[in-house]
Amino acid sequence: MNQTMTPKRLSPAKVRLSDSAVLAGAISLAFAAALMIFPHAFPDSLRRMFDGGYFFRTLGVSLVITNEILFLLICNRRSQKPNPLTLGYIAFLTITLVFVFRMFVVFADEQAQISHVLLHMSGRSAIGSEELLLYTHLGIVSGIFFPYVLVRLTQDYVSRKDSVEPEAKAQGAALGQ
Amino acid sequence: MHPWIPTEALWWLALYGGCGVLVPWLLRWTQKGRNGLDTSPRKLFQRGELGLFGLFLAISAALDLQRSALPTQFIVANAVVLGVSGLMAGGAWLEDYSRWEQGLASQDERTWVDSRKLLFLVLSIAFTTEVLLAHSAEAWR
Repeated sequence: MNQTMTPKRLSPAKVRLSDSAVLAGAISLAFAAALMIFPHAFPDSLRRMFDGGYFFRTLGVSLVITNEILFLLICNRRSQKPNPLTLGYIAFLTITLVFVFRMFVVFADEQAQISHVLLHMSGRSAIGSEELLLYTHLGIVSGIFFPYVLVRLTQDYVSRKDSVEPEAKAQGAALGQ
Repeated sequence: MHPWIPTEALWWLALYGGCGVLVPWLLRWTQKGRNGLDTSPRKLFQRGELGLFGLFLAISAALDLQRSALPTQFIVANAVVLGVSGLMAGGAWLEDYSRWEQGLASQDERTWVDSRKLLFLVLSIAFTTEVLLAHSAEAWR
């Protein structure tokens, strides 16, 4: 058969933790650099996005797109077949992490409002731009690294289960004989 | 607008990087002439020692974070992120050690790449955390 007509066999994609570590680390450093270069403008821009109500949507969409592109690049580099189920799983985990991060921010915001209104404290009436900065860094880094940690753990669990089942069947057959 | 440089965080990073990576490499380099050793960082840290250093770095950054006046939920969440990253970095060394203990063939190349990349992640998170701590201290002063 002609070599060009032979379909290229691709193995299923296997994620490694170090794949996402470089991207998460680079984004974390870029975050620190942005803060050092624009110490006032950068927190203020985040604050404006939060007040505008499109902060979490922007973050969620950016993280999902970044993670999906990263997964496709990993598959392409290792000549592995990208599994649509894994792509969906990565998107689901990223969105879940953004929701968890949103919960943290909303809780901090409510706490600041309660302190201001009920306890008549002289503090801010909402979450400050400094606190938002802290949570945003946390959300970005965990939003890139953690989905891959969970995907890796799931893949390990599935492959272990797959390797244990034939062994158990073979043992059962041997006992039956 | 003037850029703001957190000198304390940079010193802290240089100190840890120096003690964890530079000093072992220099010690090896000084023995090069006597023993004819390979002094490349890849050879020196091929068993995932950088990952182990990453774990210690994550622990120290989490402890530093604990001493700050930041909100408790943020400290806990950031410590979890640092802890998981550090554990994954340490896992690179542990995996290689387990293979060696069981007499299996060592995957030096893979261990070196994994430990190096995961150390970069821990180092980046720890450095940015220190920058954020310094920035918050300055903003809330």
